Amino acid sequence: MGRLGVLLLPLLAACGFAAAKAHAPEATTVEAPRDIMGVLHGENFARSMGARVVPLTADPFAPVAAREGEVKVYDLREQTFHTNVTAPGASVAEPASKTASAPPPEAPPGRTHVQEERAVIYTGSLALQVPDPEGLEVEVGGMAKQFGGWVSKIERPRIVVRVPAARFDEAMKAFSALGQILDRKISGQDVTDQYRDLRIRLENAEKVRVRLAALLEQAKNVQDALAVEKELGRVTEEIERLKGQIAAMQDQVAFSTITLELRRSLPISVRHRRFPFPWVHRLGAEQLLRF
Amino acid sequence: MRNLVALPFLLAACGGASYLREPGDCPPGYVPLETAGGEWLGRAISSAGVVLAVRARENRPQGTPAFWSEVVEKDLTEGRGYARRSSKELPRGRLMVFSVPQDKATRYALFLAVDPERIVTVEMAGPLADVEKDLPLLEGYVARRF
Repeated sequence: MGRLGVLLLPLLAACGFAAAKAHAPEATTVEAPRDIMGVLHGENFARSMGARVVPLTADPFAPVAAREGEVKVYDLREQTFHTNVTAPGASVAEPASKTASAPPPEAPPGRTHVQEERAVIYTGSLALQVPDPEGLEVEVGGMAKQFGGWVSKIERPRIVVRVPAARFDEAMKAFSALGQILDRKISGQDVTDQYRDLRIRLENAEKVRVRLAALLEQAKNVQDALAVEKELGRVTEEIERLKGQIAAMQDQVAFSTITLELRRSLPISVRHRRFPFPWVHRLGAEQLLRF
Repeated sequence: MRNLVALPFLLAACGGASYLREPGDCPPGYVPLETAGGEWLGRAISSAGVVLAVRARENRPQGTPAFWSEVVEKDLTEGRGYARRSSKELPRGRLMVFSVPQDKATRYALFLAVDPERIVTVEMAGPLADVEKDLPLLEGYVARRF
């Protein structure tokens, strides 16, 4: 383990402190919002914001390639990517946030320019009073399909629906019309930083794996080979875990979750009848037998 | 409509008259019960725990006996879960008997008399068997007083 241990140490450190490296000044790429626009808010909205809509790639969060010392930033007004040369030690997030800080004048209320560049997980919940909750389950499923989504779970009286994030508002509006709204909640969780962190940790872990594989080739004895292989297994496991987390996050960002709670409304005929005559309400055995 | 015409004395009777305040005014076996203010014109209780009470209020909005009977019955049954066991037209008004929601051991009887100015109710509540037994006393009381 002696000589090999010396070689392994920096590798392990690089892997273990991958999160810290997420904010390292020498990072040279930034996740420009090339495709997030389309995913999150719909092409029409993106266009209304003056943005260029780019067809989705396999990884909508894929960083824009940049050379050493450069940061690529998407300019929504000019509809193009700018390459900013950064001084060593400068934060990559700064130019992006500065570009994004000024909302365009036509931005709709509540949706700022900054939000356009963020990865946000939208979730909504609706409590509705409806005459026939069971009968609506099929209709909800059909509506989810129309929006490009699906029914994720039915646990009466709740139905969980997943819809493309771009159609989240539209779907919430449509589901709201199914009955009398008792409760309505919407939340948006910004996961841009977590996503960036996961990506960088994954990249670093993959680099470590490549270097460990090279070390394995150089192993002179069984003991060294076993030590490297053990570490290789751990790093591989870490890579799979990170990939899973990234995939789950991408799924949550790309598809919003809407939970519908369908409560049965009482038919008119058995609804408690009330009269605007207080004395009538005071009749009855309860008051008579109260001493 | 008959009651609206036949009850001019109801107005006079309720306007300051006392009910169930003296032992002599109570049905046999009943004693006056402290009313402690409130809207009671009078209350009495039997040794079996059956309570008899008289209340009155203005006939506003002015309704016929049939109107108020229906309102009271619907409020008790469709609004509060009472079940009507019987209904009987008496010379001075209507007597209705109800079972009480979630308390099968209790009975509630209500006599409703209406004239153009006032609505008078005479109520009786208590253990089922005792109320059923005392219903004739209630009928006798309203016949005597209204």
